[in-house]
Amino acid sequence: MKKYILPLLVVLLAIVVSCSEADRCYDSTDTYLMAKFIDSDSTTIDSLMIWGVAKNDTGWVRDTLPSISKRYPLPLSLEHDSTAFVLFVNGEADTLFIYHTMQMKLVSEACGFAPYYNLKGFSYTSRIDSVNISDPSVGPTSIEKPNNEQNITVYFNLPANTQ
Amino acid sequence: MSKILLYISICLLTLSSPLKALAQEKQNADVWRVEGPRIGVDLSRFASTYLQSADRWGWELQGDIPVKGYWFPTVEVGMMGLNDRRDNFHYQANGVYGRVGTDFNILRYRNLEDGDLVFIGARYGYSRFTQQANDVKYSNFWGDYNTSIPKRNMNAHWGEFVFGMKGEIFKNFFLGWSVRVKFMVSETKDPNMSPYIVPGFGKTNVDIPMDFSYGIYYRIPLWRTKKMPKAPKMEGAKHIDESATPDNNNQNNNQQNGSNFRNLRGGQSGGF
Repeated sequence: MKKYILPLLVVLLAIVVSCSEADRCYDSTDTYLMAKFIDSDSTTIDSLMIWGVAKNDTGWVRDTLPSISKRYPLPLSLEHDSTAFVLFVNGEADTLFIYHTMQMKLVSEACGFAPYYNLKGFSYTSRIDSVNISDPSVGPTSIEKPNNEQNITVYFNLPANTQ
Repeated sequence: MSKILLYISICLLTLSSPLKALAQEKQNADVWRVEGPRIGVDLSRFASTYLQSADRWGWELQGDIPVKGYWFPTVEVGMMGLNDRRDNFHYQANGVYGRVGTDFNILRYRNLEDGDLVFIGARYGYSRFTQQANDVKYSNFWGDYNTSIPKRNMNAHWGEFVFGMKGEIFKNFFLGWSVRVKFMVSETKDPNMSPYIVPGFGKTNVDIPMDFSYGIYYRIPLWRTKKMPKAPKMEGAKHIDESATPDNNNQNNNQQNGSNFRNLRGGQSGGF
């Protein structure tokens, strides 16, 4: 009898293990570029609205609060190698083009796939002074970055008379 | 069951010394140690087909051969396929695998006929498989996106530590199980997806990959002997060595004078 007890126990154990297999997604699959907007010394950003280009009727961000050292998550294009946003700062529009490459990667069995981007470069209109990349890799964990970190920082050079 | 009864009756016989010699002679006349390669099938692979949510299939054959009684060089070969259809992707993996290694019986044989094992062992595993993902769906602000990850050939190398038992249920038929702890040595890197299942290895996305194997085996009785296998000396098992020292010195003798019956009783605590 003793001989059969252990094999039986193992079968039970195998069933328990198979059933407790984790099948829930605990990871993020939402990929956003974390962007920080910084104004020039003489002026402040009083309002910010972000549209996706060719998505004019859909504002992605509408924020009328002072956005000093505030970060915004920007979704990047899945189909194309560039993404363009219209940035309405204090009511006037600027355009920011972001160039990137993208690869779909498996996050996990339970969560599925998410896009991973690599930032390649930028072009922008006149009131944007510069764009600084601090992390060119944009993935589903970018949104979990600590408060003082971001993928890019956009520096504005707002003329004083727009105030 | 009948074997258990036999053991009990043997124990009783040992207690009554006048009967001992008689019983012994009767025993030895037709008692041989049967040895030969053992082949079997891993039943747990079939079970897992029904236990998993994903469409998973597989089979595995195992074989070993006794060397010096206590070592069992082992070969295991199998196939596995996974067809995992989910809401936002459809993952497929198919492949073959093989493992080579050896088991070592940590139990002492109690008599000539005893072929039961409690073993530890190690394996090297290798798998060749393909993986692909279709219907990969993703949506964000910019719209819906559909893509697929093309089929790719993959390799994996890994190691395993094994602990298990095999018990003879009928003559030459064994039931056995083993628990395995695995560690990946190397696998093909895929930029899109590291395989979450490797044939023969199992799930890769767990902290300590473990596996169970439960199989039925047939020993091909190719040769037979009257010689008791010599137990290798083991460090850290001195208490067994001490009690077994007289046996080691004249093993063949023991078969005749029946002192192995004493071991049978003494050895009960060591396992079944």
